[in-house]
Amino acid sequence: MTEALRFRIILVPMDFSKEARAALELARKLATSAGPAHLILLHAYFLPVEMEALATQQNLPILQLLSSQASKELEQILKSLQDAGISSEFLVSRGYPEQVIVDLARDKDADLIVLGTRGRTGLAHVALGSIAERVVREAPCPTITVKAPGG
Amino acid sequence: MSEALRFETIVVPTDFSPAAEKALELAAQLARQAGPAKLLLVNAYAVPLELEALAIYGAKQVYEELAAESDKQLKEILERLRKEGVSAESMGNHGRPEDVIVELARERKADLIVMGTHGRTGLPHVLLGSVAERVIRNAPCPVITVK
Repeated sequence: MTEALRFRIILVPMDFSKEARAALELARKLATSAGPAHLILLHAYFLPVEMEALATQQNLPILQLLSSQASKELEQILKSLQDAGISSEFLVSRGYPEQVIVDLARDKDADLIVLGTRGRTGLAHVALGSIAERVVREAPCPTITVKAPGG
Repeated sequence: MSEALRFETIVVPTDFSPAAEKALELAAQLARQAGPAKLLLVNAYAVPLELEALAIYGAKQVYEELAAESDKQLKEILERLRKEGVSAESMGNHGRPEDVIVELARERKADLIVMGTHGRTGLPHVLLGSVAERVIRNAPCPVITVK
């Protein structure tokens, strides 16, 4: 129990919600105080099968759009992290968020997942809260769940 | 955004299981490195409701033995933490674990809850895992879960 705590790789799922931003805030502090850690920002997205079929049929570049929009925002976040001297990278991945998060944590041998969650807010909980619950249950490493300030 | 991380109060529920022990270890490290923080140990799992019911029906002794045993273990943990230079206090509790944990975190304005879960293997998950899930949902602060 005496060796120093060191997180080397911290995974931060990012859906650009205020909860995810609060999680990022905590992650960057941990990266410094209990690091130095490398932050991996992960944006996972998926379309319902029917929508995807429609998009393909109509030749709509929805998936590319989703992916490039996310990449643009992630690049900005990355820049602010790197300006602060924090090593980081981002990934955009298609699939069910809870699955993508857990798989990546395992692949990258993450020490910690810092995950924004909405907690108990009616229907939203069904969507976001259940992702957090599944990540907590399946994660190969400790998980911190974070809510937005005042939320 | 560049200010240093500082935890002042960390709630650590324990049932003395290996997962809870790992959570305690992480909490102690965070208390030193991202503190100095005080740990609030809460034995929120010691006396399941069934046993309380049992106690009412006359098995008072069993109940008291369990409570005494968990007090003893808490004292040992406190002693260990003190030797490591980590400030801590413990509190016994009788109530629904998730309520006790969330209420304590709220009352003491905790910065963090660190708790073990048993993952989802069989029965332990039903007890601990679901407590963790309910704590996460209602907690007023970030929650770290450790397996």
